[in-house]
Amino acid sequence: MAVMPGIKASSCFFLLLPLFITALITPLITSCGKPSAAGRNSSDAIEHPGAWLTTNGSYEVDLSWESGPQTGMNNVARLTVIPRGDATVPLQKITVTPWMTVHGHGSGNVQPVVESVLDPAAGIYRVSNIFFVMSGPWDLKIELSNGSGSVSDSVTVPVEVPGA
Amino acid sequence: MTLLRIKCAAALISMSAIFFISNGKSYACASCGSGGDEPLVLFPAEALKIHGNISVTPQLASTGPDGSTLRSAGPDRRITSTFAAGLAMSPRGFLTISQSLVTNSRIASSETAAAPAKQTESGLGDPLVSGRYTLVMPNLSRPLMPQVQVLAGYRPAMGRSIHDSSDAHLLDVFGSGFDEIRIGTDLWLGMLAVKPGLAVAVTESVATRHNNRLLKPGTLVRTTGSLSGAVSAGDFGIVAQPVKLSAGVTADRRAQATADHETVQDSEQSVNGVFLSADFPAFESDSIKLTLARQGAFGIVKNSVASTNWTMAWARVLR
Repeated sequence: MAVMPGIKASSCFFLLLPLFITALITPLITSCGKPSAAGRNSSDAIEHPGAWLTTNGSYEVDLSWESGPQTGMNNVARLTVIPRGDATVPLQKITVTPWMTVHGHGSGNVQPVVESVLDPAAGIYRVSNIFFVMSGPWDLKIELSNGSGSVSDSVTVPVEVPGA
Repeated sequence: MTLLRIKCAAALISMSAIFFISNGKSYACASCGSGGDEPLVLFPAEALKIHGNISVTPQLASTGPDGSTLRSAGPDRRITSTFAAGLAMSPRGFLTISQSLVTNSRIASSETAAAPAKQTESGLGDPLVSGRYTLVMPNLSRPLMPQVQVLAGYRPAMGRSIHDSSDAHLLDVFGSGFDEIRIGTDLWLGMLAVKPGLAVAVTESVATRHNNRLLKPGTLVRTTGSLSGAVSAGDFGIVAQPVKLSAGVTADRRAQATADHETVQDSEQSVNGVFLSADFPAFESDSIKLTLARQGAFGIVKNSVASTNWTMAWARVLR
């Protein structure tokens, strides 16, 4: 009988060990970090309603859908880049990257194609091959390159891809 | 709500059934093995064991931050074949290596554009090296003293991940894209007729640069509770040796991810699952195990995948 209390105490200790570890770790891993600033801009400073101000404030970007946004299809959008201040168009290079931020992935190597078939002199481009593998909250990260070829400005435009 | 009640009732009935069908004998053996991801667990008397399984997931349903099911253009069926080998390093510890072959299929092809050339693709998943060490051995004279194991594992990101996919429907995605390190503990009261088990495993992913972003999934904590017992199937004229039955629940909680060292809001994941398995001894050194597992069986499924897995496994003790 003298052994029994010892056994029970040890058993309780080992049974409670995983719960203790969970209780210890969970607050630590869920509370660290700070909210993302992500560069989404819908500042009062924009001159064109509905447009998005780039991170450096050199451009306003407007995105309208010609088809989509939908899952599982080749979505096409019209991208209008409006220069501000000393900034100019046409731009040397524009890249558009879909990214599902909450899931931490994009569309792999299936990347949108930016075409200068509309009116690049007026900053109007056609973006095709935008593929969303699932519905939900997506971002389109748009990077703008000037004459030197390096990224001069960028903006992240949120897109809600409908589920049904 | 009614469906949830039915699912919970089914899980409780399954677990309760073990109490009633257990024949009261105690079998000293390894833990349920569900605390880690290793597909096979060596029993104390086993020195070398090989294992193969095929797991069919007929439907995959991704969910968003609010728990709602998302419409997906990705794979909707997955078959995973896994081969593993376990080697005892001592009476208390063993190492396991495993490798999976993943086959992704897309059945629902209602899309009109960007249709994949293939509807099925196969590739190697991320391998796993893992080990267990028994800190406290089970003792027949002290049935309430649990067996205590520590477990550790390393899964290098070798399979093609979603970040390297070239298929618009992600049929060529077989790996996570992140090296993973796992540690945990597994407790098991193996000397009781109905053997409770409780395991906690913590998985840390190594930050990796994808798409010009330094990404790091949040830390994953998986808690597994199980009940197992043995029933003498010889009474039913099936096999002479007892059949081991296990049932349990899992709770996965993953903290928020980071991108370029900034926390991604609403990216935390949670999913709860249930499993039921039957381990049949066959011949002298072989065993067959059937497992039915449901991820997303109850509670909110947040930024995760709800799925049902049917697994048939075979294991042979070589030494």
